[in-house]
Amino acid sequence: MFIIGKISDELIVEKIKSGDEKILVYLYKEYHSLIKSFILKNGGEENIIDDIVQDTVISLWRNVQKPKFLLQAKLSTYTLAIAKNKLFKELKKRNRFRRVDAAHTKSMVASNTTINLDHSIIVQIVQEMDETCRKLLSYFYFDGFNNKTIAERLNFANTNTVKSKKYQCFKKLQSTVLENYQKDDFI
Amino acid sequence: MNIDQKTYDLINSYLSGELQGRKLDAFKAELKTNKNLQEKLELQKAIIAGIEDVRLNELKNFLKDNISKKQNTKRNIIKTSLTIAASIGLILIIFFSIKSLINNDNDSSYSSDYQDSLKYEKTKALENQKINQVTTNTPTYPENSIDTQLLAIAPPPDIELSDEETTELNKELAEDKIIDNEIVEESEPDSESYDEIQDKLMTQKKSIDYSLADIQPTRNDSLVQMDQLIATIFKSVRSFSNAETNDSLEIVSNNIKPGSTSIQVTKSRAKKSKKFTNENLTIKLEYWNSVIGFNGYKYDGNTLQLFGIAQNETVNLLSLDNRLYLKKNKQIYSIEKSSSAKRFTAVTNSILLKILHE
Repeated sequence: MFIIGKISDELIVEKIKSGDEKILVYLYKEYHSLIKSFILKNGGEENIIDDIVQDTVISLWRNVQKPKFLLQAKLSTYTLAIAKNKLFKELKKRNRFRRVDAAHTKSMVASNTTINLDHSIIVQIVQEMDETCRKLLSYFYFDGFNNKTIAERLNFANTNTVKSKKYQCFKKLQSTVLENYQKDDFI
Repeated sequence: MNIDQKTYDLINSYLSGELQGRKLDAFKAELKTNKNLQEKLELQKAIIAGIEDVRLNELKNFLKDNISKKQNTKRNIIKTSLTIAASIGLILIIFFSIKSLINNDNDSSYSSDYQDSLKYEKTKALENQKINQVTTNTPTYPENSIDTQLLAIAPPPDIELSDEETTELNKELAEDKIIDNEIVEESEPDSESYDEIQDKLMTQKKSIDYSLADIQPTRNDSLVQMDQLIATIFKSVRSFSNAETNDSLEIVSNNIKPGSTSIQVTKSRAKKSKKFTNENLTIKLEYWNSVIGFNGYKYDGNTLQLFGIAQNETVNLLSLDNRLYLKKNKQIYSIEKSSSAKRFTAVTNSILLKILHE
């Protein structure tokens, strides 16, 4: 059990898995100086530090939720590895060595797809949807919470409710999205 | 293009990588041929991307808000602390300014009081009356006497001394050339111990030579009177030996004669006593009025200064095994040699009390 400040790695992981968002603020503060010195030593500039720290912490949040996640090193080492990837990605982007990352979710809406959808319109529709549905879908798709955690956070009776409610919310969202597009948008 | 739950779950499994083996192969084969499924997959991907973007921004905003809030809180704490510190400083400055102004006012009021000759005369008369009441048959102040612990010069009582007494007093004064004649501002007794006040005063003292003839009644407007010697008597000590309780006994009278070193023994007690000792057992006893209301004593081996004991209270001095005890109202206190003032410590040892009470 590694101790970082007052909170151990184990407790941090536990808090992330339980969906305690306050731990993000702790992680940001805890790793800011570490990531900052790494960025400055490796050709990064002052103006990208905060964004990279923020992205790193959120990536850590998401990774910990994955079922395959297993902490085999210090959390600080693991976090620094994420920050390293973020920095190199950023430097490549700046040096015009940008490469399409097939794994990135945004690239899912690529030009060779069969549907030509405006990403910003979908974002707007998601923002405007019912709060419980938005949270449910966010927790499932972005945070990667399991059905039990979602049920706890949204005060649902059980995991079956989560499953059915998730489908209903997605179906409703899909309908709204489709309403905003003409048939011509679809090939 | 409605989606059923089965297809929705299947696409979710495919996108999350959970779909594997034959099920994955079957899905991929279907995807190649089924255009409707392709559209559904693309639409679902696009919507998920939108959901993820919204959530990402939500978390980023959450982080920004909380971090800036914390920074603001820190800044506010520092700002508040500085404001409080500045306010305290200002209050202290104002407090001390007002205090010094008040002190100046008091000084000037003292001055005006003392300048008023009528008031002065009244005060003088009252003091004399008080001294005369308390010191019946006791040595009173010789005229123009200055006490070593009189912190300021006060008008002396009008007492006429005989030639013999004057000579004796002069002799005593000649031996002790140093007097405290320093003007001392009134200090706050609560904040300082008696010893500290005395030490402070001692550092401020200046020595002057004087003789009785040089000393004239003085009125000084800016002087403040502090610890004052009320009366001096010479008391002999009733000595006990541990082995023979009543072997040596000396009883002390409260009869005080000016400048006298004589001892009078009260007859009633003398009858009870078996033996008197007169040699080396006489102690100069001084009654002091402490301005800070101190109750205690100061004993240097020859002189016992009593603070907080009225002059008309009967006190006896007892000695047992070379230790001095003071008896007052059936209460016995042990007296220790000390250059600094001490509080009275009552004797609690029952055996000792029994011996001393006999």
